[in-house]
Amino acid sequence: MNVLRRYCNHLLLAGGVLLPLHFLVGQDVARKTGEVRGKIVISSVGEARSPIKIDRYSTHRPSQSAGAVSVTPYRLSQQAVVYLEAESFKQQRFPPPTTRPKIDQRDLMFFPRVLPVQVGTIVDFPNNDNLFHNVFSYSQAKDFDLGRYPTGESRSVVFDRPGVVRVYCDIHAHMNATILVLNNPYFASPDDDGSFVLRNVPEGTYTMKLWYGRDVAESRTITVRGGETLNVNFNH
Amino acid sequence: MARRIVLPIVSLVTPFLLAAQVQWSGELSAYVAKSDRSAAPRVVNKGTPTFGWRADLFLDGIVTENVLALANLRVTEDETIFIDYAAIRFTDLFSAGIHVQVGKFDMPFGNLGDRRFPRKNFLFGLPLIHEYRTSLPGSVITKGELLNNRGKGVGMRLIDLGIYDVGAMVFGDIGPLHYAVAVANGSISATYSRLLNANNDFNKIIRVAVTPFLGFTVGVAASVASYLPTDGKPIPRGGDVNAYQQRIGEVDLEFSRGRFQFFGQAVYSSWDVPFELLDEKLNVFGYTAEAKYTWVPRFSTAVRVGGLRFSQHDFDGIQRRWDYDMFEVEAGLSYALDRNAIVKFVRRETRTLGTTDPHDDLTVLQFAVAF
Repeated sequence: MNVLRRYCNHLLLAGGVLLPLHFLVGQDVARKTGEVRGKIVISSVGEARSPIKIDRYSTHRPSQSAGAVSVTPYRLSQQAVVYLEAESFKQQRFPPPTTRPKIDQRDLMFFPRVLPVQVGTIVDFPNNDNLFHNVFSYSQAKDFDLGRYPTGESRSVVFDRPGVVRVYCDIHAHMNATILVLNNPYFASPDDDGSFVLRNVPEGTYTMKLWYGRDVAESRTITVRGGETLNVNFNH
Repeated sequence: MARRIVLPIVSLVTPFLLAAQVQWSGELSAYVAKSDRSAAPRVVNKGTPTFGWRADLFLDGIVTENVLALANLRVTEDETIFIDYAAIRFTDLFSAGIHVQVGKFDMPFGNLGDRRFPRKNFLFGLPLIHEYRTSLPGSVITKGELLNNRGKGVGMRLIDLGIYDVGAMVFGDIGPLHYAVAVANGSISATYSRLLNANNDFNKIIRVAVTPFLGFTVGVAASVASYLPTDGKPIPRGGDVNAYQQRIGEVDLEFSRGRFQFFGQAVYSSWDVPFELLDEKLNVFGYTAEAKYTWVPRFSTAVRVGGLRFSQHDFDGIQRRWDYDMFEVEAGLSYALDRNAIVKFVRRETRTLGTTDPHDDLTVLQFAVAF
């Protein structure tokens, strides 16, 4: 009789713990997903950027340029990002990132100018210029100083906290990039024609943001329904 | 006299700046300094604690793809405006990578670079070899006056502060080799940055540097110039001021890797000096070395050592150095408040050798921002 009671107690305890957990997990697993598609139109994209400050004090050693260095305008795909935000993402666990993106240093610029990554992503910073750079950030989400390393070498940083990470070069003041460290995998950089797609987005209501260049350019609330494709266009 | 040189330069550069696409940037620094109390020449504010400031404004005028007009203005706490840089640069002439610069600019002698400015300067002020005034002025003096001048800070510097002078320069690169040839009004130790040429000679400077691999540059430079003014005191026993020259040479080294940076420079100068009885060559050897290491993001330490050694001469039958040898150590901590703003705490200890060491050590807290 005692054995039977103990068995029942264990069963109740297991049921009490596992059943709600099952529903919680099952809710996520069973949640239907939809797709967000759209197009970004930026009227000022590709416009010529101001030449960078002329380095008049580097004449004591070989330099890349004694004149005005005009920098290549970024393409849309290199400086725009769309991503979703929701309070519920903060409690959820997503599969760890599988990609290892990079921010390239070449032609006295960072490429891309904006890089979206999921928390936990390792980002490489290869130097492909024939001179030194010194990549650093003092952002709250991640502070680092990679020092100077030669052409062809790379350093990496793990971005383990969500937030906006402003990246600079200590030698070339005009160089800047932004890493958006996001707590979910629902983000995308558009193609150069502005089109983007976010797949497998769980149904729900979200804040969708367009990041362009250095800041958020536009923000709107969207509702994704399972099995449907939502069209969201940005005209900035 | 200053107006005679500044106005032509400004009038030369201004039309270019007006016609150009102009962008400006700058630096502002403020400090509080406390020197030891003494009459030594490098004591700040006679040893009374003081606040001070400095502002640098950089104007970049892009006239065409290959023509630039560059100007720097500097203002200090006494509200004096200095025009450090007012030059026209013609780049990539004949598409051969040859650049020409005329006007007022920094002479190609050494590797001081943008460490001239507080935001990039690891420490406070310039190295000893740029700041210390020797006992030899840029004018005719007697041996007795020379001896009496020792340690008083009345003569020429070994390298005149930022070495801004008025002249012309051709420079360029051939692979890892860099060259610069310049002519200017003054000399390395006495630039005529606010004056027209004072004698019939120009300063002739040549510099060659090589960067065998990224992060390592070694350079050499040499300069020959007459340093006495034509309308100054007459040469004893007669003669031409242009025959009395400064010959100065230097070797410099720059190395950086990771979070470590090093700059070093050794300089040797010889002046032909007309004394009462005979001409003599006054020589001085100077050096400076500085290193900076960033331990963690934002936090760096730096140290600089420098020295001067003067040649010995006969003064009334006694062999003496023509100025006191000097040695200086400077150490500092810096913290980056932001990418363009730093705060530095610097301690500088200066030793004057061969005499009672005057108390002229310095402690500084400095804020510097670039914009």
